[in-house]
Amino acid sequence: MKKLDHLIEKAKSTIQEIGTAPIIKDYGQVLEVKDGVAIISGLSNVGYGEVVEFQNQVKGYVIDIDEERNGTIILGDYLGIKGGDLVFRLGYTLSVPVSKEMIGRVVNSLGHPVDGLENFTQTTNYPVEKIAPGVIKRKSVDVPLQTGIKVIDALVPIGRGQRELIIGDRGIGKTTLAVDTIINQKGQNVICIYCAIGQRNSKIASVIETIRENGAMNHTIVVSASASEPVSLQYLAPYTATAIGEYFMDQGKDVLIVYDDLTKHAWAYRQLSLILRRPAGREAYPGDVFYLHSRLLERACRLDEKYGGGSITALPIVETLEGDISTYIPTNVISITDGQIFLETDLFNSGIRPAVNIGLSVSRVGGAAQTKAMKKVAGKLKLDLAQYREMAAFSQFESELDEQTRQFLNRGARLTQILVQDKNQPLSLAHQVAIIYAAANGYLDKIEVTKVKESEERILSYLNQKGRRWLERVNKKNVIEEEDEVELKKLINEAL
Amino acid sequence: MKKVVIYSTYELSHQEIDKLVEKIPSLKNYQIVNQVDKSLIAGLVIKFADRIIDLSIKGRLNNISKKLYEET
Repeated sequence: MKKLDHLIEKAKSTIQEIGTAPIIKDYGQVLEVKDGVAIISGLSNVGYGEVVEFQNQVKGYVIDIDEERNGTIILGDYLGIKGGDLVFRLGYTLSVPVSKEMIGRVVNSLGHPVDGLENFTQTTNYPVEKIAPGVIKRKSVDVPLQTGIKVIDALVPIGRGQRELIIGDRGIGKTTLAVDTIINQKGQNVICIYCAIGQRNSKIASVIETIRENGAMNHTIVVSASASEPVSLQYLAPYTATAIGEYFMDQGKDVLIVYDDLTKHAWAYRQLSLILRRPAGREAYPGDVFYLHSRLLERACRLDEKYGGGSITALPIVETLEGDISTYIPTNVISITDGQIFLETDLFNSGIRPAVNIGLSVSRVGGAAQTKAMKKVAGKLKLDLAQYREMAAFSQFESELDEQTRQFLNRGARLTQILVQDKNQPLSLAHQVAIIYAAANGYLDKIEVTKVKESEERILSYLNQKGRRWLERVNKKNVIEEEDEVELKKLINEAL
Repeated sequence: MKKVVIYSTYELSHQEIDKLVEKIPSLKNYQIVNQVDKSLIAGLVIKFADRIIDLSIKGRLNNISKKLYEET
């Protein structure tokens, strides 16, 4: 009864608020309805990016203006729209409601909850399209974003505010890599946004389940535009995710956004563009497909302290076919981002997971953000692995090798093994440093390659029991000093 | 001369239209066409080439229902 009274009260106040002023609206008429797009006549004053409303209260977004007709993409169900329907101008550009309450929730491209729980009560609106912060407001990347994945934190480190592309064929762990990174942000004061574009609903559900199982939903927002939703919503999803990210960044927080994946986003945009009869270019993508992604990823940045000091780190995912990274969308996104993590099917099949191709993966700005402790151990690792790769290619044909070469190959094989990591098990900085230190300094050289994994586990569990203080200290300081190194040596020797 | 359509729930008399023109002087420049639309319940809807002035009960009710829907 109380609820009913409350609603009646609300209705009364709403009616009073509205008053008796005449309703004046600009209107046009629907000429054509196509897949996700409506062509309308009239509305001569409408601006680009403005929102219009159809007679059945579905909203539209103007992305094409002509002398007599305008193209709008339909944000929602377009089956109820008929030719000749009236279209009203709403007079504002597209924005989404954002709120603190979104954390831990699943929303659609329009910022409305789709997880069946209650609506958000306190929201502010943020524009979906926004020009990225300029050079004055920015600061170079200098704080690390720990992914918890050894191979990435050691060899392709990511900093807060960086844009790092994850690229590779289907089904070889791109999403897993991104989700692991989200899981590892537990307690790191980073708000994560997972933006699913054109994915299967079952996959989105399983990703959410994984995030929840690992207790990472308390700092995560999922923006979902699955394959069954209209392409217009798939097209908008990454911009919405970024708008939500900007809301938190403006409060000085660090944000991580995963765009999964931008290939499907480009497909959605290609479909819209072809329906709008825009000239098609290479692979039938429209001419502005580069700008489509560059304006999105440019919004990832690290703000100067004067402007709040927040950051948005972007992890876009791009899917390749047959490992071909020289096609249109992959080359575009590679050139926009600050580096890429390249995953390879052959590596994946030979059991090296995450299947990161170290030679082709780079991080152009992350090095400045790597912690001192990691820098100390990873420098040697990088060099050893590079030499190992070179020698391994040569030595396949040689039967007799000199002692030094054999030792290199030996070490390299073990280093490759310790970079293997199970999914959904991110490691803390100190754990990573300990393992890499052990391998790079030859503590594992005497152990058979197949048993490296066991020894790694032994070291980790020994550290968890006896090396607690050491772990805490290194995780806190992010540096390895001489005495830490001595103690680590002792711990590793005891563990083995 | 441009046309303007006035929708009402019954056919308006000349006096009524004249009164309306008095209230909204800009209507003088248009050729006025009157059409009956019972679904308005009461009031008027004035429709220019690309602008609509809704003075009907139907429009007002729609507005209220939309506001209420958005807020709850």
